[in-house]
Amino acid sequence: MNVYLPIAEMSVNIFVLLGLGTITGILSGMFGVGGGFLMTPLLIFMGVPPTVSVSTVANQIIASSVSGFLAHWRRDNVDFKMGWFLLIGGLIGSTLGVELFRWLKQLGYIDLIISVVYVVFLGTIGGMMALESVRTIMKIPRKSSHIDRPKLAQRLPFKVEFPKSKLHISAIMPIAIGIFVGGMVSLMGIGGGFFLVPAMIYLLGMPTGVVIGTSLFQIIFITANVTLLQAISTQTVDIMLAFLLLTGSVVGAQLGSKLGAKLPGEYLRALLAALALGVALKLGFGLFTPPSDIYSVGVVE
Amino acid sequence: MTRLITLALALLLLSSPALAVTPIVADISNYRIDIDSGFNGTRIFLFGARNDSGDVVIVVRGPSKDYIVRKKEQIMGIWVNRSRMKFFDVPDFYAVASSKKLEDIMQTGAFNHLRIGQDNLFTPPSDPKQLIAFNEFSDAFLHYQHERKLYKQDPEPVSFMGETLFKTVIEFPDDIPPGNYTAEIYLLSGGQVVGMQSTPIHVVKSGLDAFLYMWAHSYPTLYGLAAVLMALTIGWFAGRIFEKI
Repeated sequence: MNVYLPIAEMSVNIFVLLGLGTITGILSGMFGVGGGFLMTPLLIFMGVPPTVSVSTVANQIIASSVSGFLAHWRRDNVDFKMGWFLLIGGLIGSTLGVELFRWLKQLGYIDLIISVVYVVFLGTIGGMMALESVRTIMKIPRKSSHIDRPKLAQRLPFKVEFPKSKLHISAIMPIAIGIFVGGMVSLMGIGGGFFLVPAMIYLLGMPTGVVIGTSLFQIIFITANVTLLQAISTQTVDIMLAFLLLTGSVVGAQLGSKLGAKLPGEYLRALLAALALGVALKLGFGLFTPPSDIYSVGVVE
Repeated sequence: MTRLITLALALLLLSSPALAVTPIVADISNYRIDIDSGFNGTRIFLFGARNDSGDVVIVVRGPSKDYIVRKKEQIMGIWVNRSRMKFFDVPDFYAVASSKKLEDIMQTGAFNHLRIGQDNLFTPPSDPKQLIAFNEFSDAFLHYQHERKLYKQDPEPVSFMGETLFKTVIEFPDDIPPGNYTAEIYLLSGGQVVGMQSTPIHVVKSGLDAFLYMWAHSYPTLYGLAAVLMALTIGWFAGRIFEKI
């Protein structure tokens, strides 16, 4: 059964989209990440225009973040104060990101930039995660056994007390992280948990217990901001596509969190790293393979 | 069946008093094309009568847009959009049917003026140095439109039944852009246009996806808010439902 996607302007099998939503939902439930990093490239591989994929996946992630956030909130695992500071940066970053997106789209570079950003960041983080999980699985000892307190966050001015995370750090750090992650959300069609979670642990020194809940809290607002701004400035949000994807993903996420509880953490991370590297490689090859048609036609806006 | 209808309608046209004064009369089987989610392309039947000897050329044009054609080149191994060229005021659908080959009917100069024939859709640059690039990019544009079946030259030739009656079929693929189209019917004799008639065709999107498309473009803020609200609601419900399981 096919459904016509009004903004992507193509006809796609409805079960393929529901299945795609479910699979990424399972992964996001298992790993605690939004799954956007997988969903967006898969949509692009299916032939959905990259611009529509990025904006629509941002819309879909709102739903999975809300249901995830509610679960963490009930367990009191959210540092709201930190969340607000991240959010200030995130709103600035994502607004600038959408502007940049619009500008690159006009120049005709957006498809290329989306691929390059994916290859660079997914490749780097995936690679780091792969190394780390292989070390853990092979039981290779780390060079330094203790994690240093993040120095930069301590040294910068405008220090603020974060009682929930038991931190006294500069407000500049969470805002700066928010700006960077917000920009990535606009350009990559991801929630940003992929960047946010490691940044909160290693750059801010937050306790791991509150990291996921806090990141989900701010992802809701950032993805909502990106969805709204993309709808206004580029008209690339496909509400039909988002609806089908998020229907699958909210169900998948529940299955995933049950599956995830059964697998040991280091194997989960190795699996996630392998997925990230696979996507980065596939997109990376795409940059170098000759296109089927070197000419492309667009409408002047 | 369609043959019969054409014949009947053509006879009707013949008997109409208009024919006595106008050199060409024509009509189409459908003035309106509805694109809904099940739309799979359609064909329009065009028929008429000429009151004068001469060749018949039929041009169907879609709404005009400004297009940009980009060319990818390899930079450090990566394929990047580099050079580009804009074409202004070009129809997004274009089909020509004629009773003879276009070049046998008329000198290109006259066709150029009327924008008949796909090579006459673009204004060539005044600077001869740009002519090579112009030809390359306009060819790429025509190739792209032909691939999508949105451009057709001599799709099905205009055929005659006897001396006066003529007919042709224009095919519309499933992804035709909506808008106001025109069907122009020319009668040419000795390199001159001796008769011309123009008929509008309305191509309209309908159904839910048409509504969503229109909404996204006409009320983007409201559309964006609705998209956000939908995701928030479903996410919240999902959270509540699974909390109890």
